[in-house]
Amino acid sequence: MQRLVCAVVQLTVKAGETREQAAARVIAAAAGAAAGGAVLCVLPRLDPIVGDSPDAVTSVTTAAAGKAGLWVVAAGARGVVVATPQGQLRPVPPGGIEPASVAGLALGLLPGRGAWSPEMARILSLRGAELLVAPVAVPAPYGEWEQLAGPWQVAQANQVFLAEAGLCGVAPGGASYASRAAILGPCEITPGATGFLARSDRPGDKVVLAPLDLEALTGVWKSYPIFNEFNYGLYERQLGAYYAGPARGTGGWTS
Amino acid sequence: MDVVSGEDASLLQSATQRLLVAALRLYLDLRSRPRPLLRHLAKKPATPADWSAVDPRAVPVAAVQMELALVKSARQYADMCYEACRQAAATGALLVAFPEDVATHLLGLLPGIERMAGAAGLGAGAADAAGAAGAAGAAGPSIKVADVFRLMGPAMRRIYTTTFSYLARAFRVYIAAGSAVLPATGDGKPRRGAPPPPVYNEAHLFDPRGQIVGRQRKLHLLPMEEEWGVEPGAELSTFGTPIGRVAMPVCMDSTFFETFRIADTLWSDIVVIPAANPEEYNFWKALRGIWPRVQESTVYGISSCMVGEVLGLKLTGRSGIFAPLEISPRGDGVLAQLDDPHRPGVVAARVNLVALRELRERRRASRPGRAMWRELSTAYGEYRARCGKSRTRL
Repeated sequence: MQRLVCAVVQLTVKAGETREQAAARVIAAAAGAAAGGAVLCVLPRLDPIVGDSPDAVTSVTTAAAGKAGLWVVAAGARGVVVATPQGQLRPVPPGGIEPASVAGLALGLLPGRGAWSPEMARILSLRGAELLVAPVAVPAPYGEWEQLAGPWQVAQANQVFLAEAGLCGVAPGGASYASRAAILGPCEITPGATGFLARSDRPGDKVVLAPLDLEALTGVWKSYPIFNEFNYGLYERQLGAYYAGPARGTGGWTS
Repeated sequence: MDVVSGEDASLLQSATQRLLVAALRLYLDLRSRPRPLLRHLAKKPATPADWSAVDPRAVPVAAVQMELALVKSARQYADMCYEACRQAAATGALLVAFPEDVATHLLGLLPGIERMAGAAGLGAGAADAAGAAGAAGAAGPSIKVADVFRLMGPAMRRIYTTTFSYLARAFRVYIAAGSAVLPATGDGKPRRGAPPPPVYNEAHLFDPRGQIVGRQRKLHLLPMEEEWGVEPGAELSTFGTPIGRVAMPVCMDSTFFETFRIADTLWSDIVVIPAANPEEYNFWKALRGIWPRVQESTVYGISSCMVGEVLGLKLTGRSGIFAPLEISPRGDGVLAQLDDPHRPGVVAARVNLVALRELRERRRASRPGRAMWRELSTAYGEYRARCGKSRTRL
């Protein structure tokens, strides 16, 4: 498939709402995405609104996918859930650093702070991911610069699409969330070269839609081939030390 | 009637070219003598920096945004660098950064080089520099841009080193003197039976005594540089100074998070990026370099940009001084930045090394560990085997 429509959902945490009411909103959002032509819908981390029991996130995700007839990705406290358009669970690679084939795309999963980890996004992209998905619930405040430092920049650094879905509002326990739901891509193939294909511009429930053009994406890989310029020898010699635990040394001004 | 065979003509042409190249080398040697240049610079006033009360909580640094223009003489080049350095030093900066391709101005010493703009031009991405070679009358049509830099290398290196060594000494500042495309060995001359010396895009750090205390070869090249015949460097280094450890990878190196992870591992406080970005300015595209790298890896960043249009290249950028969001007063990761991406200027700010190191300690707990490196190094290997130099869909 060379072109498909992707949706990301922004949901508000509502005080006093029952889990059933929250699930109904999730299902309605997926239906809205399908009505907009989406074949893939990314939901936020759902456990703050539907509960953190083992089945709560899974059941609402599969229900949303089955009823809307599209692929749905969401996250809970125990990880990412992917549901098929038939409402079935789609197993995802253990550990999550392998792309999964979803809706004709190589999909990389970035739950939690994954979208702020250059390593996670790099590994998934090296392994062929074309779309990274970040089903998140980011604590407020969450400003534009934080988004640019995370999801936006990993999309640029790896020349991939990225779908970020988020929660906003204050949960009954007092946890406060802010969302910047967006669909991102390399600057070269986004309007105004902004890196944003579409984004939510205000709090509140919202479905954000954008077409993903895979031919245009591979065109970027050819015209600006940054993955051709990896310096493997340098990484082999020097990069591993970063991950070998706390760096040693005095850190003195002149050392 | 004399008959000249194709082979004879080729030999004759080759002999003529060798003579021309030898004559050019002699001419460039004369035009790059250090003593006249030093006498010229010594006439200029310079106020040495005050090192008596360096506060690690407010280290003054500056970046020069410089215009790329061909010069006709070493003095003209030195004047341009002096004026930029004087303005930067006047801000109180103890570390002054200059842009990438900071010696390219000196291609103007090559007779006829300007005709190159009407021929292939550097920006045409042409692997051969027939325009330059033809203009100079120095070589045949198969010459690479790297060959032009090999020819010019000794003169460029001499003028560049003399100028920045003097300026660092006169103003008593550290100068991250941008980067220059230079042959690896001293004179750049071909040796019989030996391959030509590799050409690198190399950054240099001068200390306040005028000594070169750091060299850094560009690690990730632009496709255009690969076509020119430039080779990538093999190692990132950092250099200790009284105002923190400094790393100075070059331009495209800041596209790769790997560079800054290594700089972090090597205890870098300040990463200087000399840049010469060959495209129309766009805020978002320009945001893809040093700014996100400074957010990921806990360092200050100084970007010094070359601007202007010469030899078919249009260069743009907004030099700036950048910090992690947590320690930038406005919360935007920018301490100071020039507004105009097309004009020269100087930007200055103070960096707080104490706050930086405290932040680094706080972030250390969330640093990824060995398992991440195993995955990452495996993924590089898989990608290299699968795609090589041509990224494709699975």
